[in-house]
Amino acid sequence: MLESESKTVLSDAEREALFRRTPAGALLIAGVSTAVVLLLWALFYIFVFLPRGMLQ
Amino acid sequence: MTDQVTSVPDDAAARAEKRWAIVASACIAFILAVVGYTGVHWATMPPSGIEPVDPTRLHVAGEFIESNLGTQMEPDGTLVVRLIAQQYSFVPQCIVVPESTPVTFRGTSADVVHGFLITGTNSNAMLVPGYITTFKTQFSTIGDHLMPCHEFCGNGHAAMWARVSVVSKEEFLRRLRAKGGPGCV
Repeated sequence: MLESESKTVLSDAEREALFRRTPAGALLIAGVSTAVVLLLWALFYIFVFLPRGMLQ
Repeated sequence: MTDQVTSVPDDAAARAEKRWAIVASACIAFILAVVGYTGVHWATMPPSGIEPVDPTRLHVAGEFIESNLGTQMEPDGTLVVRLIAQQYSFVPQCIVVPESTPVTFRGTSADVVHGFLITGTNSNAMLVPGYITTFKTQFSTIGDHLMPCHEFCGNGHAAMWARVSVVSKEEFLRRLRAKGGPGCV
């Protein structure tokens, strides 16, 4: 292991503390993008598909 | 090194992943529920095309002879639109239907596979030679809709389109009584 890398190695306690944290940023990005997709789907469904009438 | 990695507590990440799986599953369940409810509520069906017909004798005998094409009122009062697609036109070129009235479309092809959609509506079907495509729909507003062929059928495909004219019920009945059946003019 290089010396420069060894400086970034965390102690066990630090690492455990780091991994205990929920990946909030990733969840936020995934949540917002999923919400946008779901919202667009709902808008198209309500304002485009439904008014265009049934097909039997 | 491996020992150190396995000793890392991953409960937080696992919990987040589990929650996210629940959210994703809920999204899919919501969409399926909405689509399922609408489908059952409307009794939605894909256009069927299982009735056979001889494409070489369409103009000679059967329900697709020329005098039978267009919108017809059946003896039981239901409205049926019969149409033929052929390279590169629809017969008839213009279809007249009344507003807010159930209409049954029955169409077939005289040569190759065609398709049509009625713009501004969910009507969308393929016309396959040898089979009759059937679906029911109704038009809620008065106006004209383009009806292009949407299945590439040859060099003239781009010029193959017809028109659906939705008129009031009174106007439709007036045209129905006119000589030659309901026409666009």
